[in-house]
Amino acid sequence: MTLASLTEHDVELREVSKHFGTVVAVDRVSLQIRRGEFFSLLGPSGCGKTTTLRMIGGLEFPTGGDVLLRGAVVTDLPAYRRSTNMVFQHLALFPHLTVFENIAFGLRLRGEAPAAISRKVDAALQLVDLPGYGAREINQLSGGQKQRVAIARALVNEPAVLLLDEPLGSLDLKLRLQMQTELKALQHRVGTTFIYVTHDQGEALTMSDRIAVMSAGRVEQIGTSVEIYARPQTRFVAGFIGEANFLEGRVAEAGPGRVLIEVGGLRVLAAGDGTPAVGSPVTISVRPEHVKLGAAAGAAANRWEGRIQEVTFMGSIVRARVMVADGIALTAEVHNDVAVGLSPGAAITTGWAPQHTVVLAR
Amino acid sequence: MSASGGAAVHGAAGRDATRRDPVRTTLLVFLGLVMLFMLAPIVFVVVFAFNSASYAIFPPPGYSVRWFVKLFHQEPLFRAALNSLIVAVTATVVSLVAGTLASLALVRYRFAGREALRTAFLAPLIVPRIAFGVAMLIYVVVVRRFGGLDSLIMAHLMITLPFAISILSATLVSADRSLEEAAMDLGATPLQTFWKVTLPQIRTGLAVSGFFVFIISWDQVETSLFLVKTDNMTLPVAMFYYLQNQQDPVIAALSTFLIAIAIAVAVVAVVTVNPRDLQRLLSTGAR
Amino acid sequence: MARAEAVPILLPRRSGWRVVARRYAHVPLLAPGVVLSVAVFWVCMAILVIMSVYPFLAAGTPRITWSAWHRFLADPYYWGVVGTTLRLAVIVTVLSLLIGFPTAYAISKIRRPGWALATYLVLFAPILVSVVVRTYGWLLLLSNNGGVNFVLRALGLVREPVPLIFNATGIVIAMVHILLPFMVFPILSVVGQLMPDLKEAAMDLGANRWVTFRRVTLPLTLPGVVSGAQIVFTLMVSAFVTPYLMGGGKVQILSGLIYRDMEAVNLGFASVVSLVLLVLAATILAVSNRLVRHTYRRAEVERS
Repeated sequence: MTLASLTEHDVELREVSKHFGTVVAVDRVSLQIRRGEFFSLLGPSGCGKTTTLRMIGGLEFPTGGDVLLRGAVVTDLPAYRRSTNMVFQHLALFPHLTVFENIAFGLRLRGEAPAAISRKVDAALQLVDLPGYGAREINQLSGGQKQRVAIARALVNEPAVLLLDEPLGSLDLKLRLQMQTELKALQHRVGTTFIYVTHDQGEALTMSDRIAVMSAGRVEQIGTSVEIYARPQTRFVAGFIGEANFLEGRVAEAGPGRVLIEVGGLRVLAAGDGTPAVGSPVTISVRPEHVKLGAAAGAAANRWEGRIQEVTFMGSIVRARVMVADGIALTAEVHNDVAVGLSPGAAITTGWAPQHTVVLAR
Repeated sequence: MSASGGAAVHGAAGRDATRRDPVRTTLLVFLGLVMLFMLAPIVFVVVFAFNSASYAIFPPPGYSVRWFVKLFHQEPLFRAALNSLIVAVTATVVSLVAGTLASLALVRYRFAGREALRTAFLAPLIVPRIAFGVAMLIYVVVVRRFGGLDSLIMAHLMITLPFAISILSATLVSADRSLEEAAMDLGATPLQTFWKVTLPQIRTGLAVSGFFVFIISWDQVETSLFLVKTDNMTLPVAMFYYLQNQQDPVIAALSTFLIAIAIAVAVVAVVTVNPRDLQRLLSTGAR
Repeated sequence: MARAEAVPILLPRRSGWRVVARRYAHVPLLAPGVVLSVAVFWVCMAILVIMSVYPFLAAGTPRITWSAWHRFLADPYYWGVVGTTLRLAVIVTVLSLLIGFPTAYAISKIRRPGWALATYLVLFAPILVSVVVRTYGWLLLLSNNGGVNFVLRALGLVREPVPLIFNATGIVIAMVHILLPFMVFPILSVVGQLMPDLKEAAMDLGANRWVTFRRVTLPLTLPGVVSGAQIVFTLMVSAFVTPYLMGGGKVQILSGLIYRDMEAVNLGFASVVSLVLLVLAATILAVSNRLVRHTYRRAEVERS
């Protein structure tokens, strides 16, 4: 049959909603997650990403829509009947059991033979780089070690999908970066589909094959890291991923390959087709690192004379705020070697290339 | 003793105490007096158990163990003790089982009328026990079941069940829900989850509430008072009647035994139970 | 993603057995408790109410009568009993507080954990000893031939023994003893949480000890004091064994009245008194709960 073998999707959500009383936590979310993919659900807290993950894992049940695992509808199947396993936000390791018993928990429930359990647990400990830790108590482990045990406990059951609910949230920055790399490497090795929930855009961008950006219970955009970053489709995505200058304007002309937008007194060129019709209100978004200053801006099609308001030294880069017209200020980020001579009050040419103008319908 | 002494030190108690501080010394002396006050009646009962006279007088004219000897011929008291034990054990077991189930529902599930139900479960705690004894007697007469231990168990359950529910709900609230979710995620059915994960987490709460529930039932006079006849007499009620009618120190000899058991149990409890838990429990008005 | 183009495929809500089972999963858990509670407790409460106006167990054809209620409410004697009950409860509560507060405060000042544990034990162990036994101890101590009068006479303070039992004094002494732990432990639990640095901060700011106590320690311990007082007061209002034995029939309170009427097989009137006591206890609890909540909120504000 079938659907399961025909489809390449490990997980599919069809118009899934979750209401808690009158609160809509998840609003008609549809996604398809491919086999072996590292997929992230990214959004601010309260955006419904964790609830979505829990519905995939069977810890929460949708008020509407359907959840499919490998083509089979599992919407109302409880967690213990699903081939998913989760790494919990606070890990949820059993404090009354040893490391070995924690990892063996799922295997024992499936009634596996003691020898097989022992072998698999050892292999799992090997996989997460904790060989010989089986006899330890949970409270004897460091934060990073607990993390690994939680991952081993989930992976040892060979789930179809591994669900990770902000598992790195409680670690300090250094350990977190290290675990990010390890997680990604681990996923390559085992080839399991990972669904990763996070509010940290950097984490999502580095690790994910694809990202779904969520806000207020809805999916704003799904795409690869590059797509999400370079071509945000909504103002929310543009603002949440990285930083952006937002300008409100109106489409003045829309020709083939170019769109002209009037922003206050400025005329801004954007590359691309005139998807928004002439006259329609739009928001344009420009990343600070695309805003050039001085000589670098000399050839840019969008270019104005501005006045520097504020300069902030940030290490390898320098951030400057430039007023280019009445009430229109742009934030630019430039390398500190080109930043020499930037000082508040000075006049400076400011601009960017049309291909960096992102036009968002309002 | 207490009114004037208490008030005087009360004012002084406010001063922050440092080493060799007169305020601190006064406080500790006061504490010593309070400890004496707490121990005095209990010590006195023990002293009187060895009184050679058959009436209460201090100091005793002499000492003897004859009241202990006489105690061992008081067969009805042993029957009463056995009855009390049966009632208390049954009430404890039923309270813990029904209380755990109800607490699970109240804490782990959302459903309409949950708050109302919680209130209804805990309502018996505010009913004066003697009033409950009255109602229970009328009930027992109406259903024409008088004289069994079952009516006593039922009556005690009405006090012990809400007590167990209040402690166990609090324990469950502080138990980590995500551990249960982790167990289910790893393939444990709700029943397996309960045995393997929930139960180990609430073990202390179960032990503590079981302990207090047992004490409450074991020492229950008011609710049992109207329900007992000779064949289902309980120990505290028997002692209550004995005190009204006789003055001889047999009851002191019996009390000495009970005190010895209580002290042993208290030592174990104070040493094993976290003082914080003890404080919290006694702050809820267990008696 | 192109959300605007997504056709809203509203799949029909699944209504399989799993959904139904999940919705009613709490029912079997609640069943034993609910059955017990309804079959005994709520029936009992109904019985009390019915019995107070419809004494169906009495001889003759039963009919609705308010005579028992009338008898209670119209007779100043019974209002006097209510008054005595409340008065004793107030006295016992105030005394427990005056003794209990410095006791808790002193325990918090003990530096050696061993001694602290010993005081815990002394306060806790009596709870495990039957109320009847503890009352018996006080009867022995306070009787005319008892220990207290012996000491008083030996010291030459009195010539005739002071009557300390079968009166209100005896009830108060024994009840303070029985209820003191219920005052000390709640206060102890807040005194234990009192952050020393808060007090030090106050001292730094130049407050002397008395001011520190009044402005910092007292407001912050108030929640413990109020909940301790609440427990002691409500327990005292409905206490029976000790007041009955220590009062020796000379001091009548509501619980004793109930006992007397039960002995006289006056079930209708006993039901009325029981209901009066129940209403009294519930009212006290409702009022004091508001007070407890209020002080807890205030303490939170002070703390933050």
